[in-house]
Amino acid sequence: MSVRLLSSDSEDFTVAKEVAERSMLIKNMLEDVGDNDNPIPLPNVTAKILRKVIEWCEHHLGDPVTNDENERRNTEIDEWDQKFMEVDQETLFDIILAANYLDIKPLLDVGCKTVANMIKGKTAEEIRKIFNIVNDLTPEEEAQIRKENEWAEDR
Amino acid sequence: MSRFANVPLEITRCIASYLPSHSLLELCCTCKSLQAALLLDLYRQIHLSDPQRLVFLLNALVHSSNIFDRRDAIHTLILAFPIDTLLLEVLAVLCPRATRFDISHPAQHPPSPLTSDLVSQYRAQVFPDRTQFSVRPCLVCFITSISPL
Repeated sequence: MSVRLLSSDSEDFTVAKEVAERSMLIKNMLEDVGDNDNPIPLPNVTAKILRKVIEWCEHHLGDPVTNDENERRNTEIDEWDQKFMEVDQETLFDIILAANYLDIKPLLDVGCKTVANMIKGKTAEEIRKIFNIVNDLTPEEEAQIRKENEWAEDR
Repeated sequence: MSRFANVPLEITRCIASYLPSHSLLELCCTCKSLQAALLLDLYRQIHLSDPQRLVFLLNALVHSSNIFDRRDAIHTLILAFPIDTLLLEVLAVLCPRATRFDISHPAQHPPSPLTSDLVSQYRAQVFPDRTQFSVRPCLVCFITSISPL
């Protein structure tokens, strides 16, 4: 059985029901509307991003659902996912936002871990450069935050 | 425009949850909005392997601005070195909402900068109305077998 999905820029995707149901949002919608042939509109996701999300869902179709908090907290990313996430920053954040909107927790986690790995071990200045963050703290304010949190250590 | 600084707070916090505390601190130092959003997350789970860092933490919890928010934010404190009961009592007051203190006792640990004089100073600040002990109390060492979070 297949499901039709409609991206925000009106591209029509036909995917297997079990692939689409990796998204809790779509799963719940399908349960509500029952069988019908109308495409499900996804006004927050462009075709470019939806194609990536479907690719991820197809690859991870057989994954066991893990509720184990330890496993979720594990910051390792498997090789296929690392390759999958080798995209420009704009796309990376679009995938994360789409995973959040579509409620695909494991994809959201992989996206967040990817961003976390870009931050790890970097200084504030390096992080600002990577993400184009404008520094609106005065040097005194920054020094104050560091002073008060001098206890924080990397493990 | 920075995409990172403009994602919803729940996503920023999800990203932050994968960072070790020093990296999270660096992230908090990048701009005002990230500092406001994430600073208390830094305090949720505190893991210290060096007693000197505990001195810094005690100073932060006793002297900094908004100390009550920070104190309330702490829910787990993990120390990889032993402390004594006088200090444990201080920590219990400074971390009123902590649900887990995990204090381990490794075979070897360096001499602690937390001397009895320093502990007395913290106690005088945290328990201003109490007479201070003159006797050094016993060492606290809980060997915990609780699985890590």
